[in-house]
Amino acid sequence: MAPFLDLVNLPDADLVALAQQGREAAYREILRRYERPVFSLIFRMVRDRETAEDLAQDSFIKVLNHIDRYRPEFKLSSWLFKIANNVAIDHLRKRHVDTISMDGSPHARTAAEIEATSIEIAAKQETALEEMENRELGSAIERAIAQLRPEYKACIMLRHVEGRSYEEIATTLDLPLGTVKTYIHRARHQLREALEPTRE
Amino acid sequence: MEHRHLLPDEFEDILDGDGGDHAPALREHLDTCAECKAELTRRSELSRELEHLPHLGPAPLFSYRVMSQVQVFEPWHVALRDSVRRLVPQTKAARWIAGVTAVMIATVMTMAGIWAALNTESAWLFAEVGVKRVRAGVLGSIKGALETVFGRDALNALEGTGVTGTLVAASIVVGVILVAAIGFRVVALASRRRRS
Repeated sequence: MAPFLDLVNLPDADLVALAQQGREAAYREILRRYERPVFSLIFRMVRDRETAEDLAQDSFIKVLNHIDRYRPEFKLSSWLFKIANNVAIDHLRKRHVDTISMDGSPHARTAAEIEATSIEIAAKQETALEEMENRELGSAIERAIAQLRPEYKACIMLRHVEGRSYEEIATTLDLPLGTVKTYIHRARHQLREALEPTRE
Repeated sequence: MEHRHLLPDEFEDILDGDGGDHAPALREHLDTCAECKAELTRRSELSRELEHLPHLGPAPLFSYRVMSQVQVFEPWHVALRDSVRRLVPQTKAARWIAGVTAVMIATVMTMAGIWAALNTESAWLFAEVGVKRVRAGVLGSIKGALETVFGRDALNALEGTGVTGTLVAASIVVGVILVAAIGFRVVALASRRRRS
């Protein structure tokens, strides 16, 4: 019976089967197992702790509320990362549309026009949350990752932090295998270039 | 093997433990070429650094927030199975005792069933006597209760009205109980609303 099962050592497929039987403990174990990997992926993509928590929460709610639709031939982690990546990319696209340049209109031609269209933000002290984010994502490599395109970030995180194969990444992100390979090679190249000055 | 330096993609393939059919030749070249070896070391540093990136954790109440919005759906057959399992004793000894008791009861019931089937007349007689006794017992209890609550005179009056009168009186009593229960519920709800 479920309460006596050692859920911590249970494979993902068995855990999902228990969740499909309505075992709340199995839901909690899925959450415990993947909250950090999913949150890390999203946090490194959006670089804002609060937003990352909201997006990770959305991802888990989507997965857990539709656990009955899970197909065993697909890895649970791949399904989770796929949804997390989609949620993060959607957010970034939406944010990109909503973003107003603080450096003035791109159509401005003269210094006066640039000044007239620029937005000034009052200097403010770093909040506790920002301080924590800086501590977490402030290292040279994290700053270099921040400069990557979101697609590159997802690929490089899945490859190196999660240890996924190229094939798994291709399935997870719905990309051709060759594209995944290209993204990872380009991402590594960009990271090496960005980190070069810090190594000298 | 041609003695040329490795191409960027070939370095990446070697780092990924790939390289296809060319892998042995590429490794052979790496063993002899200090320049390519140094480049591979430089590239592998990044991979090592990336692999050591930590998993970052959400706030402590994250899982609670998620679970509060997740609907755990338990299929009916699982709920039924669980209910049955809850009735089974936990310890082995208790399960044995329950099993032996169940077997004994089943045996007695089966024997009684067989005896009743073989002795139909006696079974009917026993059944009739049993029903009469139960009926007399139940009626006696009800009469006793009514006499205690309403008095002897009320009971006599009720007996005088026959079955119809008894049914009407019973309906009135049930109605009063229902009205009282609904009234108490309304009062309780109003009181709770006031408190919140």
